[in-house]
Amino acid sequence: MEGFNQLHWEDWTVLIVTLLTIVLYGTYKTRKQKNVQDYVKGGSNSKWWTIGLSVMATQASAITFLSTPGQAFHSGMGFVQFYFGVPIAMVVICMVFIPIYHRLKVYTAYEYLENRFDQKTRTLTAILFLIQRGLAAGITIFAPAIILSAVLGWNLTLLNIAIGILVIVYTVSGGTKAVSMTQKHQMAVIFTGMFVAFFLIISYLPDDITFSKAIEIAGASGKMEVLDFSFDFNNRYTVWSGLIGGTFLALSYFGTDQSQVQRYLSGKSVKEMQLGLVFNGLLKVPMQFFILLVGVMVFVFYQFNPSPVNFNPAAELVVKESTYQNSYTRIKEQQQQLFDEKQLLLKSFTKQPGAELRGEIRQMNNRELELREQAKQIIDKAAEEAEIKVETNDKDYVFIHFILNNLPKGLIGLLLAVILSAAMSSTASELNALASTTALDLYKRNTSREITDLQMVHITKWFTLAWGILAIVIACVAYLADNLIQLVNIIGSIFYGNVLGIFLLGFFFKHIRGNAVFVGAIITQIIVFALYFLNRFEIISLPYLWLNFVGCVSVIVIAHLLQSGHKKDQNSEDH
Amino acid sequence: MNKSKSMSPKEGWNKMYTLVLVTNLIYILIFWVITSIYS
Repeated sequence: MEGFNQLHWEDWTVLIVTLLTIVLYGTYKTRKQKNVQDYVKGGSNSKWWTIGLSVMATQASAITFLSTPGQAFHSGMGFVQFYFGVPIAMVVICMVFIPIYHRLKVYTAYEYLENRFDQKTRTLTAILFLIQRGLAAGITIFAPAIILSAVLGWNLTLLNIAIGILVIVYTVSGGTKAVSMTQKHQMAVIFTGMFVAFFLIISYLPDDITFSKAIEIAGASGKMEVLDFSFDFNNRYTVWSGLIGGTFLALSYFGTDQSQVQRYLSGKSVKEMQLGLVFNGLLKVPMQFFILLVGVMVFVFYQFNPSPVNFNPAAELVVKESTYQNSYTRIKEQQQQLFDEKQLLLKSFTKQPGAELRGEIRQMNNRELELREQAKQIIDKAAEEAEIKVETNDKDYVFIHFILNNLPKGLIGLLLAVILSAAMSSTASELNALASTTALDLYKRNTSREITDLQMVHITKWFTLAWGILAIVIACVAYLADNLIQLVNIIGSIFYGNVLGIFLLGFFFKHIRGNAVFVGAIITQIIVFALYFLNRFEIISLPYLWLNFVGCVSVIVIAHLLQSGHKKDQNSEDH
Repeated sequence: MNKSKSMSPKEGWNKMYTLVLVTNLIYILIFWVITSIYS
């Protein structure tokens, strides 16, 4: 991994020019935002393609482009099943959520809850959103920064601050309009970069390996098993978990999370908003499929080119400086031997593919997987010896390793721009939504002061700046916490189900009133916390992703019970 | 009661939704073909 911390000037130029052009152009073009309608809803004149791209750019963070190819490299294409629920959720949101939000002319999703229930329900859900999304915004910056700093030798804190400041500049200045304008350009950079990378990987394969042969090799290695129809709960990615769990998660995320809702609320009309989400529903699955396919092609590339036993440079460094160096070197030698044997086998397979050779290739891959697992165990022991924590799961490092070692000068800069653009586009939506929710759902709703429209714009800008600074601070201290990314996912699962349940009660159960929902939501939150801790202390076994489901069902059931109890009380009083 | 009614879904089905669901069903079919060829 030597030489990673030295990017060529061509790469620096492409990277800096791309990022700065997008930021400065977006800031300049959207600098005049006179009222809240402009600043929070982008003047309500977005076209469907702007909405569609903005929704996609918000969801696709840097980790999508770093981690997904690595996921395919190790485990194949199965991860795409996770997105099967998205199109179903898009249809439900188009039919149910959008018409109501539009009819009520709301600025935030939580404003609907005051119209439907009461102010306290609105405030409660807004606060739940702020806690969860506020933390997530920090992680959106931190997650790619830690990987890039590890492989490029960049200073982690400086990188966190640089990403944060670039996002703050245009998000504070131009609000929603700046966010969606920059996202269009960022998506153009992302798609260009990923297509270029894809075609380059194919061109780097040996002359006799065409694309279809590459797919055959990937297939023989077990990487092309896209669908899994089994009902195994231990298997995270199956058709069923994608269709059921995925729909549920996508409904919560796209329907009730202000960072997404604000994207389509900027639409010119109901039709434009719906078309924007239809666009996402049509493109999300093929886009994820394509990113995974890039990872599979990287896998095929490394069938003909040597690869490290573990792609995380920090992990290799720890072993190098430990007493386990010799055992690690032995694994490396075995891997090299396996690689040489594989070359002969692949040569025969490309000439005449057959079931027997496929079986042998799969066996060899299993042996390589075993070696990688043994390497992980050695890294763990070496880290224990050095009394430090090292990430042995190297899926986040596979694609960046390929980029830095194989792409030509200039294109490395473009691919780094892809990763940082993705980080910035997601963070911008988050800051924009956090500020709008704080300003409108909490501040404006709870102050007795008379505020003009222009003052409200200034207040929202200050909140954007404050959330931006907080996100940078979280990103800078994130390395202190073990498994912070997982913690953010857990916090998400603790609140998401409850919030979705509250919205579903509003949409579909007309007789339920505010008090029942509010008390139901509080009780549900206590139940969900209790279940989380019972699981944590191993009294029960409930993976945290299920907390979403439990939270949603619980608030709906409890609100119904409370409402019917209230009705009975009223009836007995009437008699 | 009127307040609740105005906050309930009213929109009907639309051709676009059929397009989204059918297209994704076709994706899944293609994935199924890929899976059966290579497993």
